[in-house]
Amino acid sequence: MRTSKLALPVAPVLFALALAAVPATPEEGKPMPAIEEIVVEPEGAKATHLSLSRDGNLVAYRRVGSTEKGLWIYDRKTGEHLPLAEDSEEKAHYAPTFSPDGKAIAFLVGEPVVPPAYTSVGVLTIADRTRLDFPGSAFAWSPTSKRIAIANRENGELGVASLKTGKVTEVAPIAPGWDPLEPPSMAWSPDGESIAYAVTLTDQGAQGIRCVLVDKKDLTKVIDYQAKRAAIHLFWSPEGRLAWHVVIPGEKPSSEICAVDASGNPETLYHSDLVDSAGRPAWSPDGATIAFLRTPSYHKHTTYGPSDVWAIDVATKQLRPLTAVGDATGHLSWSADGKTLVLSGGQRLRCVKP
Amino acid sequence: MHVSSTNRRRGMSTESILLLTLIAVAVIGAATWYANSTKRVETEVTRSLEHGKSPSEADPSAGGGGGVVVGASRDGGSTGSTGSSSSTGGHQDPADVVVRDGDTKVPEASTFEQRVQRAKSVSVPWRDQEGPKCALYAYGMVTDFWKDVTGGKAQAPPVNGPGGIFETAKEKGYTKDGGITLTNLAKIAQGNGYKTKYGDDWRGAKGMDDIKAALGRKHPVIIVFDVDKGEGNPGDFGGERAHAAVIQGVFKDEDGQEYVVAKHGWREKDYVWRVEDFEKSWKTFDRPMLEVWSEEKPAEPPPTPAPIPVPDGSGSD
Repeated sequence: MRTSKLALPVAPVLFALALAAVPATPEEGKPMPAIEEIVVEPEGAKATHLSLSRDGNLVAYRRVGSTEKGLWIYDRKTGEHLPLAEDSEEKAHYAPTFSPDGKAIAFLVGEPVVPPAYTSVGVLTIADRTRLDFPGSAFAWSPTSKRIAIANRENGELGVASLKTGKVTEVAPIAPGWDPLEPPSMAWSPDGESIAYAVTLTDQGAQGIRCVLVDKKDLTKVIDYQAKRAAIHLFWSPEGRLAWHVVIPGEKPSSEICAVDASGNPETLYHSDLVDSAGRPAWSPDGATIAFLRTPSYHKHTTYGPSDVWAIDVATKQLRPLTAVGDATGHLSWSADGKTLVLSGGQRLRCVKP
Repeated sequence: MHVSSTNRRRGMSTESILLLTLIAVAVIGAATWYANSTKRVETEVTRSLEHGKSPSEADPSAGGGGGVVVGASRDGGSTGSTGSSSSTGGHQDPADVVVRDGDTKVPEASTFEQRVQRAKSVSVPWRDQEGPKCALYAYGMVTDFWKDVTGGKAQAPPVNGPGGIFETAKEKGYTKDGGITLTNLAKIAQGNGYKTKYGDDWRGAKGMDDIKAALGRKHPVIIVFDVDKGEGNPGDFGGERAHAAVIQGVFKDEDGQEYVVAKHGWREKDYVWRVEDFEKSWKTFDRPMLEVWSEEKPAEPPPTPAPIPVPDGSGSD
């Protein structure tokens, strides 16, 4: 029969077309990018919470496992290790983070107890070692590196500190007394005019996202999550679109990436019924993709699993893995040219070339 | 097999187009069904995990066997704890069925959750954590355990309120708002009449063997690890997220994978962590550990009264 003869060669083509119409599984994406690992190994000690300067030459880290505990800096060109801030019995230094211009490091200072009691935010200028300390227990650098947002657990205020004058201006209320293990996520808009932050709403740990215009102190409610211990990490697109990764644990867990659309409503870009590893995602400089930490499956018999860096195409919402290390943790940031993605915060730095 | 030149010149006939359309619809339908069925499987696996079952337990074809227990279970498992929720359902593995009393089959551990319960050397009651007081709550759970074991002789103070652990710690200058070192927590425990071992802040144990030895003595162990955000599992945050938990047991599954069974103030259900994940997170702090135990002996049960002789009717009047 003529038609059946015709159908035979065409059917495979149609089958291929039909398969192409079905959303591809993430694993069918591009080949895995190369990763450069940076491990800092001080003699007789251990380096944790690694942070890379923008130019890639310096690594700030917390030194533990020796008598010389505290913050140190490692020069990758000379191989030299230099102390920045020494721990004492009463005070320890955590979470060193380079400013966007790479000239200063901000960090948390607190009592080394369980859980840690962060009491102040320190800012150290690398060139002359001048240091400023502000009361607070969470921070976020402004895009220009001239200001720093500080959340004060004692008075429940979100303030902005000028590194030129050393003065703190309160800009918005933020619930006091949060669990130190649940610090409010904060993120400056690329134009430096707004700060988005997560705020604890109830004693049960429900959280909401707010956005404040720093100089006008105008406050906008973005969304509320009525879930206990929701972990929110805020970030912005290069064009100034607010987005966040939220992980909601519990009997029916979920993880999502949402972004505010043109009409001001949250749009879900990604959803999973598993608990992702929570860390700050990063929107690529060209605006096309968001890199984030994803847990696509759990280890057998557990409620957690291997964590890796994944990318979501903002336009198509297609996912693809960027690493296959299984233990990705920390915060993500892109190089200015968009060619390198840095995962920092753990015991090694991972530089991914997507 | 060929396509006629007519078709090539004039395009396909109406019946050909109809047939191809039907084929395309069928193929797209089949492909979509395949994609959805894959999603369904993933969802089922996720749901089975939510209910405390493993993916292998969700799949009746998957194998499984009895867990290898490190340290014998107290009275075969739980000790009157309020802390453990049990799993429902799950397939019964032949390896978990033993024969007792002749031919009566008794399921020993038909689900992974039951294996977890069986593997616990100690089972501490749960306390719902309020505020940044994870170490105080972990200690409170341990005292509840010892109060049960000693028949109420060991102290089990509340965390909050007058005479509570928090108030005591504040009075002694050990804490401001709940954070405390294990050294000072050990001092509080000693003040409550407990014996302690380790508790040297950030330098505690040499390794998992110390935990296993304590569990072998039926002593719960308080440890500090780097907790993840959200669920409360081990992570690696450079020591920024120090959190306290109680280790209740260590065991291996059918694949030889070793796990720890833990409890902390974030949720009532036991946590099950792969040992390598826990150790990595624990080592961030140089393995802090605090073993707490009471030497109070349980009250002697009242003597059983001697049976009253029952007249057998054989006596003479």
